[in-house]
Amino acid sequence: MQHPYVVARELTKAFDAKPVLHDVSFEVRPGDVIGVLGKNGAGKTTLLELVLGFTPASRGRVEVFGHESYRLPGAAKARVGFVPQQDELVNQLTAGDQLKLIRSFYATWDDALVARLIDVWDIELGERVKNMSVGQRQKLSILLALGHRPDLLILDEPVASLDPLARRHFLEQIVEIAADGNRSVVLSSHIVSDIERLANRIWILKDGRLHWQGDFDDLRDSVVRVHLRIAQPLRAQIPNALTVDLGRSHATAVVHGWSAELEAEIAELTGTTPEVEGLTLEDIFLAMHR
Amino acid sequence: MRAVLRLIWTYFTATPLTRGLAALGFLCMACGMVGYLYYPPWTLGNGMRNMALWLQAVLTLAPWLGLVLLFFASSLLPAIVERLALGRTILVLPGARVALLVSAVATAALIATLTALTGVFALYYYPTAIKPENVFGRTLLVVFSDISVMYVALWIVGKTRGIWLLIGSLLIALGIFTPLGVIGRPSGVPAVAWVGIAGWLAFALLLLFGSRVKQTFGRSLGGPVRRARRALPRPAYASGAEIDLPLGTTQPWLVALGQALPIVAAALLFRQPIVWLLFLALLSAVAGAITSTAAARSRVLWLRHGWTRAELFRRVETAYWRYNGYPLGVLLLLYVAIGSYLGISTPQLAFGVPLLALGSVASLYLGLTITRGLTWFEAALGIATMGLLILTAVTIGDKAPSRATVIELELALLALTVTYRTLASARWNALDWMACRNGPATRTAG
Repeated sequence: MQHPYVVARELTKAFDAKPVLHDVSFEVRPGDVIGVLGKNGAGKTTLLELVLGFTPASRGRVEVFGHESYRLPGAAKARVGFVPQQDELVNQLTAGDQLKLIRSFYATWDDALVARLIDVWDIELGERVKNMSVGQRQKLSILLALGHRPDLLILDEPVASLDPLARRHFLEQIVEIAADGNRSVVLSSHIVSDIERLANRIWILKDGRLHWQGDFDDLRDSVVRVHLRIAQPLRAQIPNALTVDLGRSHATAVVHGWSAELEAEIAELTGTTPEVEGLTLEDIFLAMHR
Repeated sequence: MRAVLRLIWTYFTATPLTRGLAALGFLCMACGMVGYLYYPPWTLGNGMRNMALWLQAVLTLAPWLGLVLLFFASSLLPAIVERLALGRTILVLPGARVALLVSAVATAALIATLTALTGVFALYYYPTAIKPENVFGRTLLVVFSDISVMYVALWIVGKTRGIWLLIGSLLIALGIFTPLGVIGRPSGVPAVAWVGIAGWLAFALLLLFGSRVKQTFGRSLGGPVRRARRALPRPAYASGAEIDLPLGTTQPWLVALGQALPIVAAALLFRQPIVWLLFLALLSAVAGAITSTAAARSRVLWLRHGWTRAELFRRVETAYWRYNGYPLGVLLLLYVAIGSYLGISTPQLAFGVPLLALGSVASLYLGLTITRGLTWFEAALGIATMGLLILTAVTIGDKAPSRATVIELELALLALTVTYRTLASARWNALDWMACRNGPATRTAG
């Protein structure tokens, strides 16, 4: 088994004595495509910044490629790609000059990949960055992060400004990267459907804690909606319920930790066999935040 | 190394304008150097040998003009360095901070080395009491330090308006003239060199460790800083019309008062009328140049009021006349007061007043012509106007100024001003706010 690219143990980060992340532990293994979900202010960007070593942890430790992230050496940085929430392009340069500038920092650069993406994403190399639309700028930012074929690609809400077609192309590219079992992607986004299509692992941040981390399939198996036909009012609360909607003869609940034992417990409590319905990631996310 | 070279290349070739300036600068330098090497020297006092006076003048000035052009060709260095240094991407680019620092130092060193070489060649061409071999190191040090101050000034000019714009422009003016006064002195490391070295050290520390400090302590320090700011008296909008808010013309007195200090300092430093007048003429142009961002700023006014584009132009024009009246008034008062104190002749005083007024008004209308960002055309007009201002100031500053020449020059400035006003009015009548984005190049031009 390969070593994880990122290992974080009991990470805590506080700003101005105000905690943003509490005791967060996780790993990023080769081949992982991790979708990070959370409400605004949940700590997604802080988490990514800790991984990238932009800021030191108040407590705990993050290691990237075996090095403390806050003191990441150049060789390790060359294996990391990063797309920030707001692009950091130089307005005065053309897209082509910007590419050449960033390319000069890396020993390896996949010209074929870059040329293909320029073609697919319709990036005009002669266009000055300041004259580009927000979406075009974001495409260029993503291109700059992909050009050196990073082993670990970290994207902080990268697709919000892209049109649906560009988003699809971008997601295909991420899938292609992920298909190479040695590479990993950590992607935060508010577009849950994108993460649903892309990620094989999910982190859900809530109130500064990793409320869920694990395989997406496990999450889907774990959080389900159950429909119950009830003849009389429920005598007790439905166990593990995240949400409950009660009708006269019908109750619907979203429960977590679904298992045969839980099913039996609910059946005994309600006197009826629950009907189970799978949920989309968006439904799961909303249920967790109600 | 590849990144350093790419960065240096980018500083000089970021835009068509800087590429043109760089090419022209190198061409001027190369031609001038060839002239210094292969044409017979002109011995001061012994007249010319084998060359016409105009050719002599061109040969003498070409390398120096080339150096100034080269410096301005790299004028986007501060903006590019700032953009890269303050971003977070730099923290994951391998070796980026060191490369950025080395590229900035190397660019300044390149221009300083070329200047020092030019100085040595020039001293062979014009034999003087100063030994050429003693000049190289001293020039290198002084110009290298001086350029650091000039880059800071360019950064200030490109980033800010109002009083900081004036301070930045003042630093550029001082930066251009300072080496001339310092290099010829016999010995010792001049103070400007220490200032420059300290500046580079501070820059290096900030670049290498600044982002870490900011990331580590930024948010923690944010609270106390915010509290301290709240405790300070807040600036209040006390006067002016609504139009002044979007145009940034609410506090003309601040700019007017801000001019007073450098002018008094300049009067004490440069007692020769020619230098002092030149300085004032440049300041008058700077005060007027706030208008270069007016087009972009005026959109909100057009949306808010029922004005046509023509009416909008007239209102904006009036607002800037009102705004520029204060700095120009202070400029004229100080000119007359300090000029009388320094014993400037009456004709010089009389000719200087319209020069300052024309400098301010010409730059005001030149700024208003910039409605589609800064292009070659506006840049050429700006250089021509500045050249005419300098020429007029130099002519007036002469011990016995030719009145006819001065009047001709001032009439030319007046004609230029009227042309700018006509052009600006025509452009504002067809103003396209999609095209007049307020980019850094426009701000720097201002």
